[in-house]
Amino acid sequence: MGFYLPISSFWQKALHPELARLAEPLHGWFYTIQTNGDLVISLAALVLMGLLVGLLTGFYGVGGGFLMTPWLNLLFNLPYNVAVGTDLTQMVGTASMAKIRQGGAGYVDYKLGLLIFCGSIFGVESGARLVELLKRSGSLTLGSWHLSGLQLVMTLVYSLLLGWIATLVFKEAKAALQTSSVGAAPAAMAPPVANRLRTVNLQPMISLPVSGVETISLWIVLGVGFITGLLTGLLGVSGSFIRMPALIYVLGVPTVVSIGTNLFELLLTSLYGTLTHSLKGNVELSLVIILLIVGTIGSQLGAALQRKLATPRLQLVFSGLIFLTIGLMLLKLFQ
Amino acid sequence: MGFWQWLTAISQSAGGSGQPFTAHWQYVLAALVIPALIGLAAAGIIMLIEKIFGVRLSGGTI
Repeated sequence: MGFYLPISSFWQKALHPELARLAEPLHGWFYTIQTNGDLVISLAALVLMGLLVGLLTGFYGVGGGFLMTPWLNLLFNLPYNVAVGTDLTQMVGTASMAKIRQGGAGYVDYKLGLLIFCGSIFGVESGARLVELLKRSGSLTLGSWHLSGLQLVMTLVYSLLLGWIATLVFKEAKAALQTSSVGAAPAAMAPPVANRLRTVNLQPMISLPVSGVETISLWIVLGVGFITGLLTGLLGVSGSFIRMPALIYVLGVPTVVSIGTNLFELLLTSLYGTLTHSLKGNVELSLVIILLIVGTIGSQLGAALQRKLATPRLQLVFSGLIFLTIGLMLLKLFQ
Repeated sequence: MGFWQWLTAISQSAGGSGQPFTAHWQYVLAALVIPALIGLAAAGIIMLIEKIFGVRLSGGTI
């Protein structure tokens, strides 16, 4: 069953006017570009992809954002700006749900959350404006290839991010395989850069009594917000994989407070990100609804499966899937 | 007009043809409110299932 996407069609025609003058429809993996440039996608494939991303999220306990955005572009030819905006908007739903579900499970340092959010606003806005800039950057010619600036930069940035995540997952799985035969896993340690950042004495200094932090530079707190906000605005990911270690190791926030504070901050950031991306026309509302519903079902299934099936070998499969995504993204770029 | 037709209608640019995208206010409001409502409804349904069947489900992953 075909499903028409108005926002993606608008940007497809705006970014690639030649697609609005096709002699016959252009068929991709799970999409069709009609002769007037409209984008129609397979609803069944969309539901399956949403379920799979949810399943992976629930199973591995990581956000699906970093796979969702490239997969929307790869499988359904959504322009990256729409894939990012749609994924980010979905996060309003997942963060609201998680806030209700985990609300009583963790303490929230509201002062810290609001200060990080102040940094995030600038980060999200910078990321969203960078997407706007890339959207209007046109095409580059590289030898015999004509590459869209947006597609090129987003593919490269996403490849780097996914490559880093896949390497971490791969290393963790290898270590788990080795420790299961040798003994207990070594305790996690703060990276040296985190210890150095914690001692930066750049005025003004603030205290965070709820988190038990006596003194820390305001600029470090705002910086954490800016960097994670930039990732959210530019790539549509939650940034929790940066924010959580930063809260614990750089700011010295206890884990129980960092979980609640991260969620509170994410809810605010995703709302702001949705506002700015929707004003720029980057949100496909129908996709947000479908992916949010099937993703929630998938993540519950994934969490249930994880309790029965989790092994380091399956983590290796996950890292392989991420590397495969990178390969396919690069192939699509040079198609 | 059905719900999906309404979504399609508010997703169109309010600017003229060939003009930069201009968002309808309903489109921006829907982008902020609809996912939050779905998230809240999903949390409610999950808690209801937990109560009825006496099981513990996932807390929601971000």
